[in-house]
Amino acid sequence: MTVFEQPTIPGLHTPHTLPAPIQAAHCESGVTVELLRAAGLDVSEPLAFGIGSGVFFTHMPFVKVTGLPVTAFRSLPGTLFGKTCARLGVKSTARRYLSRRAARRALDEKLAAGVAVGLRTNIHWLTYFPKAFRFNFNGHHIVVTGRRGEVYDVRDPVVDTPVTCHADLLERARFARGPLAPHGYLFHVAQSHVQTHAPDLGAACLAGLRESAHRMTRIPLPYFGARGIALLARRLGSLPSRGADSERIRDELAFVVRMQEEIGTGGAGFRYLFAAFLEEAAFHTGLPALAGHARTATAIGDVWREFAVLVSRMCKGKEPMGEGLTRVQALLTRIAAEEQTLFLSLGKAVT
Amino acid sequence: MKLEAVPQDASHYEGHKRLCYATDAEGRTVRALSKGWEVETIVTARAIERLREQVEAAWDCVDGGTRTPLFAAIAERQSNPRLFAQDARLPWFVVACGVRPALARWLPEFVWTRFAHALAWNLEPVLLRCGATRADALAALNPEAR
Repeated sequence: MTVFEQPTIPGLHTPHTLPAPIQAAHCESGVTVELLRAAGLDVSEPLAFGIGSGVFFTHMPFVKVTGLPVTAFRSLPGTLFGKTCARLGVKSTARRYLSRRAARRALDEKLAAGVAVGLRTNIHWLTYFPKAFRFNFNGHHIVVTGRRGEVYDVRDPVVDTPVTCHADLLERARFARGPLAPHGYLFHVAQSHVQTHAPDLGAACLAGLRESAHRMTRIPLPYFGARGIALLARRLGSLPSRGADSERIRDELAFVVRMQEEIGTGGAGFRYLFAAFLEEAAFHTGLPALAGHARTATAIGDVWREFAVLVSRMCKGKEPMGEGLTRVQALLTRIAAEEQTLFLSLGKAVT
Repeated sequence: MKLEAVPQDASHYEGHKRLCYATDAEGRTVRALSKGWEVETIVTARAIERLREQVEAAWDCVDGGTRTPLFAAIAERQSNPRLFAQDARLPWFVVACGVRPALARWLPEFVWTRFAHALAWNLEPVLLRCGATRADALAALNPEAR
């Protein structure tokens, strides 16, 4: 096991020199860190995630992916980079393309100008990924740093080695269709941006926290935030009475755990990553109470992991379905209540 | 999650390690690498199994003569005819014709070339209309062969 040091206090690099690649738990916050570092601003992954208000929960039974209701533990893909940059006072650019040729030309022009570029892609076409993870998912973010003939140099923050991607496959990944279709989505720190001073990290952390606390507790719809977790608990508990067979119930449960653990979350559906952010935010904002909230977030993450273990036992048939579902419902109801309390308390602490 | 509890189980990572966050002895959150977690492996294996079943069902339709190999190739790409029509930039009913043997033979050659391109199919496009086997599809749809 390798243990890294705690992230350092932000410092300044010379703009347009690329620091060594980093490994991150989550693709979009990792890409945000890579692009900000390339532009001269050194922030840690938890800071980028928290400042961009990455933590969230949504469960929408009426929106289906591969026939299963959507459950997400984070904000909408593509929003984190822009929010983080805006709150740090960094100018950024993002755009989509109708034409594949225009998208490729724009990418090549940026690379020729020495700009590291972020892209949203479909993971199915990224052949450097282990085959088991190459599902049709349109929300994966990568950084492209150069081009050598028909091969692009890629920094994928969730992969532990530098990788390359063939131009044709990259184009397919950028223009895959389906939910969250990227349409060539390309983003980077604005070329005109020059980092001349350290940003106000405390204010940025507070802005990120305010939005997270608001979204987790104040959206008056049952699908979002802590209410969404309670809805998930109720729905899963009522599946047998609505005619779902055991296999269907296991599929739905397994899908929630995949969203929680598999898609680069840092563990427990981003809750550990959020706890790391709260610890750093306590330092930057001068609010030591946030460190206490970090411990609560970690404890909630542990309950999410307990839920995942229970689901895996149900999938393997080691846990009776009826009894297992009752425990699942109880765990999720408890998580919903604890997250509601945590984010209400955070909201009060930062206003 | 305690640092010493960071899982190092067998996984689908193919030797890669994934970053996660854990709590050290002083209660601080630190970064740690994980080789995999059995729980994640179980749910991922279940998802892969479901996809495999869909592909098998698609090939059964091809073997039964009710669908063309195009239908199975679309399933191999984890897509469906409606979504694939967008990838191929063709109206959905053209793909609907392409997956039905009785109608597929009326589609012109350029349509099959378009299908093959959208699928990144490395063999003759005509094989998508008839004749392609599972072994052909495995070879023709392999992006690593590029």
